[in-house]
Amino acid sequence: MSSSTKDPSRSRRWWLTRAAGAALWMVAQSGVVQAAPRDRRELVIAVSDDGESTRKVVADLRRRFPRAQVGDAMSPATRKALVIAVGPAALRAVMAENIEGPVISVFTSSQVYHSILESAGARRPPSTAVYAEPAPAAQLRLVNLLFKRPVRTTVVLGGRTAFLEPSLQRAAAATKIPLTVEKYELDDSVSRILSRSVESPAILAIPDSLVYNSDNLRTVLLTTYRNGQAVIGFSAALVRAGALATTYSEVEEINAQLEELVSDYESTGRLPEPQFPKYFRTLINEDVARSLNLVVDETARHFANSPDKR
Amino acid sequence: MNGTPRLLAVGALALLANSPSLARTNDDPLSDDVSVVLTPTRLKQSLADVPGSVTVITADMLDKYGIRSVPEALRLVPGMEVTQLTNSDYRINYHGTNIYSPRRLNVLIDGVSAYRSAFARVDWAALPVSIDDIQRIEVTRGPNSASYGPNSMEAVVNIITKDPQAVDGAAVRATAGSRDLGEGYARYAGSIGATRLRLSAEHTENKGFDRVTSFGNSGAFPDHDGIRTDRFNWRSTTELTAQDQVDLQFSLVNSKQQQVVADQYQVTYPDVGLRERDLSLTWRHTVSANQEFRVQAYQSEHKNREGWTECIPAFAFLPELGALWRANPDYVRTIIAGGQPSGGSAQDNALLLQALIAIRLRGAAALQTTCGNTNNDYSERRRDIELQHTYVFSNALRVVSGLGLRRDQAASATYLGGTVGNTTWRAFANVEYRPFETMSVNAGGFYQKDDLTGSSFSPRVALNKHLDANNTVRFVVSRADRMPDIIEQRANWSYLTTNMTPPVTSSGSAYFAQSALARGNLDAEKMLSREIGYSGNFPQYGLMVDAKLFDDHLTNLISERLTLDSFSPTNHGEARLRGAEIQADLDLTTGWSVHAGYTRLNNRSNDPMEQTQYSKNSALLGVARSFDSGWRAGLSLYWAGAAPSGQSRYGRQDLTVSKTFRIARATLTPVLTVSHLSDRLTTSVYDIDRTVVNGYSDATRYAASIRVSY
Repeated sequence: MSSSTKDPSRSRRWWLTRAAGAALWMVAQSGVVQAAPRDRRELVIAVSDDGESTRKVVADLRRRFPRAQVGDAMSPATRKALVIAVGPAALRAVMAENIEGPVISVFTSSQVYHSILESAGARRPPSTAVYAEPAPAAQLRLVNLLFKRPVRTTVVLGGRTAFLEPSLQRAAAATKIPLTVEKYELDDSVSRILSRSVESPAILAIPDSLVYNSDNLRTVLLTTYRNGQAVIGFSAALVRAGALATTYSEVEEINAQLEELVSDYESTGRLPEPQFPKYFRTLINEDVARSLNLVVDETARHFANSPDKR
Repeated sequence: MNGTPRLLAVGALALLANSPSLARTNDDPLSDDVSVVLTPTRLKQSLADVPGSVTVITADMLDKYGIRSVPEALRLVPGMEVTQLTNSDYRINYHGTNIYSPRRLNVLIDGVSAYRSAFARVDWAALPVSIDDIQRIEVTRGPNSASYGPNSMEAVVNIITKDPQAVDGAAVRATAGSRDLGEGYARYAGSIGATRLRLSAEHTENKGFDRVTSFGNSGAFPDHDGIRTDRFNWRSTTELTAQDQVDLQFSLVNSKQQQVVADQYQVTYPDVGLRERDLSLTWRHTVSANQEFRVQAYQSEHKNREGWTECIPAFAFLPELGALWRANPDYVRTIIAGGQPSGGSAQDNALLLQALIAIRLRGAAALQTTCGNTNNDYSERRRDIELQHTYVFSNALRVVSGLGLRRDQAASATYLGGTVGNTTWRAFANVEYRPFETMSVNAGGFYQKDDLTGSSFSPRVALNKHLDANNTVRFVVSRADRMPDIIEQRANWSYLTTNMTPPVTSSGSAYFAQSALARGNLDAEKMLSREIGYSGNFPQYGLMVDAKLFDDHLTNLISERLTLDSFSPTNHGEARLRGAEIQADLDLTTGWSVHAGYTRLNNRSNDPMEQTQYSKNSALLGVARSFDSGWRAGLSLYWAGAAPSGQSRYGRQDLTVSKTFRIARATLTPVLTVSHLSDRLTTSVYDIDRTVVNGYSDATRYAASIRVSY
């Protein structure tokens, strides 16, 4: 991951320079896509860097979408292409361009996706996403499996993730988990919220930079541990740091869902709603589980949903 | 996990969004590379692996059951006998035994021992901790010197306060209730630079029992049992570097405790004024995720002022009588009884003659009462430094070891005739080993050596066998000692009475004839504890059970009641405590929670003093229900059976109801507790020939609080 001293937005736009002429023509466009059933659009994979992780994603995508173009292999019909934006930087760059779309975002978290869309304004192309973070519904089912019964769970939502509340409530109802939603307001403190939540054996962590950031993640993990509470979510890094467990999705799993999404769009012409990962597996911090007196069994360890093998 | 490299990829992509040029949407927590916070050194053993039975009382339980002090919280511990002789005088022993000198328990507040060095006692009513600052109380029911240090003989009460990082903002509480109960508490938690701090101040007062047995006037039960205590606490945490954390704690206590008279000569109440000042510094250095050092240094200063005026016949202050007492106390007892002493040595007879002459010279004035001031004042200071090293070799092996040095200094004109010090060295090691998934072994040892008594070694071995994921059986054998305290080994007990009217001597001050001198040859009390335990963890039901059969053999006990009249401590006492104990905790998702315990105890001893606190059966039950609306109710029932020695049964039922309101960012919680005693008056055995009766005119008491936190 080299940090460029040049204007990075320019370096990321280089793959669109050839479409500049078409872009001028498109200025007046509102960006609504004319649906054309069985429209075999071009597929473009937009990336913003050449790092190892990006290359792995791209390699897998190429396998699934052999006709996709990556990076600079552009044609004037790009603006009508279906763009897969890999990562937040690529998504931001794509949104800044006047293209027809649609755009499918992958490997970007829901809060970042929404904030990029907000700052892109009304002229942005139609888009959807496969969010990077675990599906709240899967996380709540994991809580059930870990605790062997539906324990009271507290979830802290910040301004950027408040939109998740309805789907969280639905997921809680489905898993019969008594869910407490705590809203984190500006200049609030996570410690204060956590001290109100001492009766919840489980804390569901949803990534929201307003709530969880490098400053307070340590405090959150230590405070919840001292209270005998388990943190569920939101990444493998967090689980290794001390969260109890999380579901997570590997590159192939996200891309398998992406594949389904694309073929769904190509057959119906309708762009599905942004969605959480459908395929996942589970990671558990066994040492934390033992220290919290939880009995973890194979059902919890193997809690997963795998895509059909191709 | 095999998926790791790819998942890093997902994170790495998001990381790119954090490059400085993209100022708008900043950090995505998904990308944050979090270093391990719950390192192996930080993670505690699971309850199934702990080599003994543990009771954990959380701050939530203190709220639910309306508990407002640490000694009352200990009633939630199965097997803990809590007897309150007066408002300020709690006698607490695990599995009872000697009510006169309960000093076989170690009490720690954030690592600082609250066990007083001079008198080997704990001032339960004036502990330097506010109940609202307590995060949890972990009680290890059994000897545990290897982990908790000196004096961890019967049990260890480990009080842990709320971490400054875990609280934020201000909190206030006001309480009022029966017997003029009035309490105020205020706390602020915030940051100053890299330091997180928590400050609290508290005032508590109440009138105590309506009636307490006064030894001055049999038949009188004065209403003089009030307490007023003020506390200030500071706790701060500073992250000097990513690997170094420094904790600073400072506590102040100022307590005024009313006391009834102890004998018929005291004409004013010997009320106690107590001041305490503690300062503690803890430095935690993380070498790696598997290795950590911890150094804790503290100083604890305590001053007790207990003065009164007494009126005694003048002859009791004659120096000649004092000299006779020191030579042969029986002679003096016989004279006072009006008899003719005999049977002593020639020197005793010579002193007797001189004493009789001195009395006759006074004539009628010898029997005249003279009044003066005297006191039981004492101060003590403890300085302690300990280095602890934790090394986690692997998932299966962890070793904690350390060294400590303690300097105790006690000063008292009355009890010691000056200042006496004692230095104690200690070394300890504890190994937690899990050779197989199904078995864990804990082995530890504690060695101490002090100036006053000598050295002792206390080992502990435990084997925990996990029958399956839910059931564990354990076998524990442990030894622990209690080193005699400064008073027991070095007492030089005498009363200088001052401002005497009419004066007996020209200076107006004189020594009371009775005195006591310790021989200084006592050995440590010893305890050998064996237990077969069971722990069950059934998360699908939210149930945790701990049960044990125990056999404790206590030897070398210093059982005698030490008074001025009779100060002959020996190590002749012995007691055998056997029985069964069970504890159950249930946490249901419907909001119900239960905490229950029962102990069946059999106490055999060669000294009736070791049976002065003894309940064959005792039980406790706490049931609480939390509602989504913010309402909460908790019912707690306490029961301890009567003893043939004359101790009466203890039964109490408390109901606590509260509702939490959220107003903007603040939380407001009114609480009401109603407490009912099964018997208005209770009797405790104080000595072979003495009982203390205390109680209330009304068996029901109330307390109402309002708590606001912002």
